[in-house]
Amino acid sequence: MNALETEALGKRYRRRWALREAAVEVPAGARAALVGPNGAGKSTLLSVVTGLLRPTTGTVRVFGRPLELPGVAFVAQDKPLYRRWSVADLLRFGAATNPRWDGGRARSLLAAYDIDPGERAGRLSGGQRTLLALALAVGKRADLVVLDEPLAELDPLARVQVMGVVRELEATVLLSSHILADLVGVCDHLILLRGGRVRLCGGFAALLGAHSAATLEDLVLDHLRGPEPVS
Amino acid sequence: MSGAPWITRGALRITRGALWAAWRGQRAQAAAVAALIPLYASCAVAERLDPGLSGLTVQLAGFLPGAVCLLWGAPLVAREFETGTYRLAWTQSLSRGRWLAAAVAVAATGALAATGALGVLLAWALPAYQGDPMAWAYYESHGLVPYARVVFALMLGVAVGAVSGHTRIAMPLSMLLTGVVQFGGRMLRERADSSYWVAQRAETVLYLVLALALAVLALLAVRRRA
Repeated sequence: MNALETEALGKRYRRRWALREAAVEVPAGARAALVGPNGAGKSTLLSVVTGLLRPTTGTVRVFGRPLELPGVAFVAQDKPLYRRWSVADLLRFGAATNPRWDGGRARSLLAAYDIDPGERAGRLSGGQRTLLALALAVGKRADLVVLDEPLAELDPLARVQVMGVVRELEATVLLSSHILADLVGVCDHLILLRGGRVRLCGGFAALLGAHSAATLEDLVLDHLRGPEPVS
Repeated sequence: MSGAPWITRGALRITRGALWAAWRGQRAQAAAVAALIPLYASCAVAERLDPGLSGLTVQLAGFLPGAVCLLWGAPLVAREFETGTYRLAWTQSLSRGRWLAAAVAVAATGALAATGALGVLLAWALPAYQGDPMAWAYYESHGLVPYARVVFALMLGVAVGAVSGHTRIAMPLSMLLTGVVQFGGRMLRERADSSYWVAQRAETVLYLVLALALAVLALLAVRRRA
């Protein structure tokens, strides 16, 4: 069963297609890495599959059904949080707005990284803010967790901590980064976007076999060479 | 029909939760508007002490809807867009319609409570009014009109904020429009020459219809926002 399946997904802004004819499959339980150059359409794809953005064309199915908000958790780019609220307020917000909320899981994640529930969100470090955003996603108990550039602007220690949490998530995960190396140790699936189109989509091993490439880096670089496809 | 499926326990919990979240997000605005009441009270005290200031408090009472529009309505949705927090709010389990309904319900309750408190203050702290009930300062601060007008002003701020997505546009523009409509109402009243309650009722209905139209506009803007 696929946790996520998109068909002919497209998003047009005025005259420019940010995403075109995107067919993506992420099997249940997978850790899928969404990579591609800046402007390839990664954020657009993630916003569409989380319901934040309405697609111009195509469909999104989550576990075989049309998208429903309780089933998908999203950590958006730059981890938007109410910065004046305390950490505890934000957890209460999660509890207040999600029917499947599990506060114990969210609190223990924060406790594991010594994040004070009384602290204001705006006073946390970048790494702590990311962990708080992850705690909200964990507490939501969604079947699919989507993360847009969770590692951007984090120091190396915070990157390790965040990827450690991602590895332990009891859900299918789809996360984007423009740095492949960050994701290789944790992910098992790859989606490569370029110029708004899906160039590669599949399990690491299957992709390497099918393209007879030695490493993922080779495979990705191979598909980023040459002129950009015209959309 | 298998009962009313939306009145389940979970739905009630989420409705209560949405109201809590809206309240948590609007505490500062509620405090700012509540702080206006003591200002009106000190104005009433000054008026009692100095007969030369007679009529000042009811005149200033007409500005309450404008203040609610500026402080509470305009930033309600616009600030979420500016800070990007709408991406957090709209990817929880609440639909955007419910999210907006909870936010507006909390703000409208606060605005009506402030208007009620001001009404009580005017009735209690000022000497009995002897003049013409159709004089604008008295008319606009008594009866049903101040309640309808504050709801209208709030929704004007919310709608302009939701459509523009910027508080720096929504604040001045919605304030200006609130004032324009207030003066428009005065001109209409002078021409129509109707009795106090006929005018009050007609104006109340008109403001509430406009508020409803603005609520629909805000909902459309929120639904279409990418």
